[in-house]
Amino acid sequence: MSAAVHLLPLSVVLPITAGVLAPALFHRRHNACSWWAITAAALTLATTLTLVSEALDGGLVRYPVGGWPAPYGIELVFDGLGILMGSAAGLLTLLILIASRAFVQTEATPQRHSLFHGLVLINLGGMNGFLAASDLFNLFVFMEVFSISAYALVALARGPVAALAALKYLIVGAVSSMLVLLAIALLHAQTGSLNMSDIGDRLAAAQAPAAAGLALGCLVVGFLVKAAVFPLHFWLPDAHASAPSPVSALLSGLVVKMGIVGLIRTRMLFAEADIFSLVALDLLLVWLGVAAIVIGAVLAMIQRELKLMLAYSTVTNMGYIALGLGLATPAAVGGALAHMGFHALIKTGLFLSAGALVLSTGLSRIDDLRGLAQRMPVSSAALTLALLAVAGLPPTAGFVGKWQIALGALEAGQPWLIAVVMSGALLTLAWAIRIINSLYFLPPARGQVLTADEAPLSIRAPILMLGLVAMVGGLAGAMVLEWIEPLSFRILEAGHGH
Amino acid sequence: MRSALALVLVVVLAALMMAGVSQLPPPGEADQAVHRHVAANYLADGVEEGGTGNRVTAVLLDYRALDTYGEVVVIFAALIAVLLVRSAGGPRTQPPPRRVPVSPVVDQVIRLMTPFIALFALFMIIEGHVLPGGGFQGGVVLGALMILLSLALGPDRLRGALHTGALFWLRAVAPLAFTVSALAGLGLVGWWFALPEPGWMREFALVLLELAIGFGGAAALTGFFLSLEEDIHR
Repeated sequence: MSAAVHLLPLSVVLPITAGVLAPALFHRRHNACSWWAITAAALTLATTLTLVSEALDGGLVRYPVGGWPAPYGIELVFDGLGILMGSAAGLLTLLILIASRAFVQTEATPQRHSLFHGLVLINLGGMNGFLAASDLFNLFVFMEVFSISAYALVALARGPVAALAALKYLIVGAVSSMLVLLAIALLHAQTGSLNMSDIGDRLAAAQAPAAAGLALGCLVVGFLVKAAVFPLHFWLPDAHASAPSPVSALLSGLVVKMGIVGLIRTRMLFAEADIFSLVALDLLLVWLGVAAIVIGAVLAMIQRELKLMLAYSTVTNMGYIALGLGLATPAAVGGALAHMGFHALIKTGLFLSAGALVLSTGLSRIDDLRGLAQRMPVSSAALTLALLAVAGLPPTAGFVGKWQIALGALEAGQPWLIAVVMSGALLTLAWAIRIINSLYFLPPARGQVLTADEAPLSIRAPILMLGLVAMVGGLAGAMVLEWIEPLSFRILEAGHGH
Repeated sequence: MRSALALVLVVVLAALMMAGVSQLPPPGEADQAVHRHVAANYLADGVEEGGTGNRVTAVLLDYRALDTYGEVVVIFAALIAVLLVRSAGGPRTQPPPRRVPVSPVVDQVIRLMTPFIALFALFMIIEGHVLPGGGFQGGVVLGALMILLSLALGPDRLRGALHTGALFWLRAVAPLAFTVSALAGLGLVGWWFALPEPGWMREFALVLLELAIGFGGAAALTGFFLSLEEDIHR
């Protein structure tokens, strides 16, 4: 075992400690706080990337916390989900923190800067802990860490809508957390263990299929809420659209994906336990995914506010991921996982560049933003690139996942699902073109558009980078699919190994 | 109509949940899995391995220290959330209203009881690693005492007692103590979150953690109360 394994707890403790220190160190020196947070996020990213190279070389990175072996202690495991979403979380949080310098200065009073940066770092640590958790209660604890910081970040925005949206998010999120906790209690009462693979081994011996089924139901509903999969998405549009733009990027890009991670862990646990067939769960995910793709895209199309459109587009894309998981074929699961990572990139780029337009003009409706591309060429270009990617045109980053999911539909013998995948992409393209058309080809309708200034470099650089990566990311699709292949194999093979 | 639908939904969900729960093993039977697997190991070896007389503390601060760390971070994040929401309204716009003094009996009783409550809280915190109790419980008692005092003496006396900067450090003390202890474990034993060896150091680390959890928890509770109190008078 190489010394690099000790970096796994560091990827959790480092951002959290930096976040806890931020309010104490910077409650007076507001401007320095941003550099502190950026440095901490960069170091966390470096830690995660070292773990990624370790995991790509030698398989899983395991760490018994405190030296206690599982199931007596808590074991952290850095697997394919860590490789995929851990590196996405580190990289995107870093870019969001760089871009948020300009946002926070306008949107938050100076006293709140250190609180904002502290919460973003705690959120990152919570996500890293959640991704590495192999112990069910540990999973719950880190879910609470990133959830509570997310509720608070929504409330950072000004205005009554944000406060109400944060409250709604808090209540729905708390109910889903309670369901997860109940499920943990049910599983612990039957097996006496909290370690997920240990529970999987021991659950069948308890001979209580109804109790196990209730636990499965609670976990699935709880994580579907966190992942905002239709019809449990109702809290998302308000929360993601009314939050400050960097927070929208963080929530829509990363935090909702954690619900999917929880769902994958749940599925693996119950596949290993092998008490009942999971066909019903897969079927549920397929149908919810289909509904989410179509309904999310239609709702996005009828919105007038730019950020609300993007929020509904997250509903669509979570639908794609659910569909891919539910199809449960190698191509579809690989596609769902790839889409998780790529959509995180695209949606962060979308919300940051849309946020730049909203920030400079103070306008949020599409019709008011007409003709803005002349005054803000870089931000508009970044938004356009990300919009083409979210629609899934080849060779953008959004194409890989959708293509693989469509292939998966063929593998599963359900070719009609290709029509759903296509229609979601076409509907998305329709509203994306409406935005692009407004920005580039319609005459300005509002005075603010004529006097708007291009966003500062601290926003332009990250959004341009995200836009370009979103645009050509599909070219790296084969490499990403190869990385996550062992993971999709493990997800599908869980339970068949013994 | 809507409430009738809601009622049906609640009844159906409750029936499903009861059906699931009814299959659980009856509580208190010694041969159930829940008593024989991990918990049995804690009971058998917890005192020796965990290095404390109290097995609950061994689970909280040793076997599952990472979870406890996460929990104090949750408390910290919740406090930051409350501060964030409260400061949305900006500083207090009107002078604080004239306080209605509490009855002299209540006032005197609170003053009389203060040293005893404080002593009890401290006892629970410091002896938490050998006796039932600990930082969380003692911290709540200490926080309740602070709330009582702010009722008797007025919240502004309490607010003025600590410098804002010091207050931020006090609120952060529990997660920070865990970081220090986790690093000490890494340096001295070779694992993150291991309690340091030898025995006297382990004892020291446990008392430090309990103190930090206690004082951090009390600071968080007081912070929640003072924020709410300020909100009412805005």
